[in-house]
Amino acid sequence: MERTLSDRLKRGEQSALAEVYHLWGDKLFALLLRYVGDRDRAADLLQDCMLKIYRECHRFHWRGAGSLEAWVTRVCVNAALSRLRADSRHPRTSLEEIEIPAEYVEEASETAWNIDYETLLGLIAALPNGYRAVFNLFVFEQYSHNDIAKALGISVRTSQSQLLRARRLLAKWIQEYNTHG
Amino acid sequence: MDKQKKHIGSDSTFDERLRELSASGDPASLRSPEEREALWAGILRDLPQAAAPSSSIWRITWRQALGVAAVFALMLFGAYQFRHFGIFTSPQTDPIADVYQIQITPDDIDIVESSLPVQTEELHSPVKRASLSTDLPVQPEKTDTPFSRKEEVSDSTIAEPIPASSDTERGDSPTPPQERKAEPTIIGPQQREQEKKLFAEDRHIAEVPESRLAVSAQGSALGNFSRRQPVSPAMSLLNARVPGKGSNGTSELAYDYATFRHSPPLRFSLGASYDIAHGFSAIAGINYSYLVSGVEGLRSVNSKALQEVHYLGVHVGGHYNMLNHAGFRLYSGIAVSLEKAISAKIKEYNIGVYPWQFEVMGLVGASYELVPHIALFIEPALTYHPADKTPLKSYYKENPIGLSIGMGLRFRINASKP
Repeated sequence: MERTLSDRLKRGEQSALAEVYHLWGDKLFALLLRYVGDRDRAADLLQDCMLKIYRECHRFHWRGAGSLEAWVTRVCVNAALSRLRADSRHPRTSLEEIEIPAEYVEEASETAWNIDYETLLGLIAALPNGYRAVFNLFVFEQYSHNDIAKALGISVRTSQSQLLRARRLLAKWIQEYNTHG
Repeated sequence: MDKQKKHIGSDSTFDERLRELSASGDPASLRSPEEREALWAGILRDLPQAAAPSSSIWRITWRQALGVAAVFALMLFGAYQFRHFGIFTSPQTDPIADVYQIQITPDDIDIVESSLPVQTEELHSPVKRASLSTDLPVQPEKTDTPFSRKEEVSDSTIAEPIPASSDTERGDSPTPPQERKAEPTIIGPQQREQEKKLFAEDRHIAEVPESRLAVSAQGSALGNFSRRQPVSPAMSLLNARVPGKGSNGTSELAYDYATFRHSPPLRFSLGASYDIAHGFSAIAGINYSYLVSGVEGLRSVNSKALQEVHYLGVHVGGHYNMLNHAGFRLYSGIAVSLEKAISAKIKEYNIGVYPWQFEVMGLVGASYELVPHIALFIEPALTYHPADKTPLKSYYKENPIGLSIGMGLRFRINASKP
């Protein structure tokens, strides 16, 4: 089915794009929300990504089942990263160094979580920009620190330290959510 | 060490639990059906624009490309006209080709063995003259024109004068004057050099040493490698506002929420180059850059305005001559430039941000000498613009790496006669 869908997309069939949106639109929205941290911006970026998928589908090459979904996801991740890179070229307020003890992660990994999917996405979205990008790439996209450093134009050391801080901050928030609800 | 291992273990467990929770969730719950439909409507609205991707990888419109081509054609035409009517031709030079071809056959040269094949030799005209005239060197008269001399010497046969004790004195019928072949002289290198000098003097081509200094005027346009993107109604991620005319210390302009469409910058440069040695030359000059961007949604969703930024700066660098042949020159080079924004406005509003802009450029250039001392050059260059630390939105920031095409004229300055 995916192969037929990609062929239709390449022929410029609008219904094929509608099907892509129907199949993976929500998932892509969730992904973008994790990266950009704001619903409006995620929706806006998803719109851009859908247009890009339609326009650039000739670049897609069929590589077996699941390859179209992987490609579409990749387009969205890249769009989110380039948006974040563009963002980092316009300096905003400097991020404060957040020092949180590692114990939060240990505790969070050992205790049960009383947290649902939407809340988790909200917490990830609330992470500072730099932390969020590294965290998403490492945890969900399972990039290595080398790849993250290349993708975001930062050093490997920065990637490592931002992941550490993001993880600790998220663990702290999860613990607080567990305690206070 | 145990603590470290525990940390790593807890980190991976934490990550794994996050992934599980994320995978178990239903992303459809994140949006209402209305939101989903509204976004699809937005996609459909912009789809026609997306369906017509730019055929060019450049962000240069056809109109701009035609403009550049027209200027180029005009320059070529002008140069041709100047050359044709001799406006730029120095009186010290002779437009007649200095180089032409002659053939010397073995019959013409007594000392050459008859078995030798026909020799084709490309020689300067004085050498030709030297090869065929019998008594050398001859100082040509100033009134002597190349044409007359050419005619004089191009005839390789000389009528033999009738001797005093000719057949007419003996009462015999006069015999037609016999023709005999001129005996060419084979000249050595020294003689050849001497002849060249004579020729140069004859043609009034004084050997004015060419200066190492040249000045140039250049215009360039920058492009990038990305394809044209549809105009996004996206809000910028920036929250900061540009300081300006706001009553409470903030700008009235929702600068960071506007959508920008940047046009390729245009640059005009005036520079000088100086030949150092071994094909290397140093360049330096001043440049002016003009950046214009379309801004949408600045004050309201449908508002449109232009952002104009003017930069003034200096550049330095070096060229290396790779090829220099028959007026054609191929060279490569690097240059750095530092520019300062001297004006940044949206309509009548001063943006109030005047960044410094650094640029690194690697180039390959080709120049052709259209007329003596004036060369037309074209310089494609790869440029890199590091981001300045200001919130000003510009083409440089959106496209730090680009390809520029510069074109201009280079005037080589003559040194004074020693």
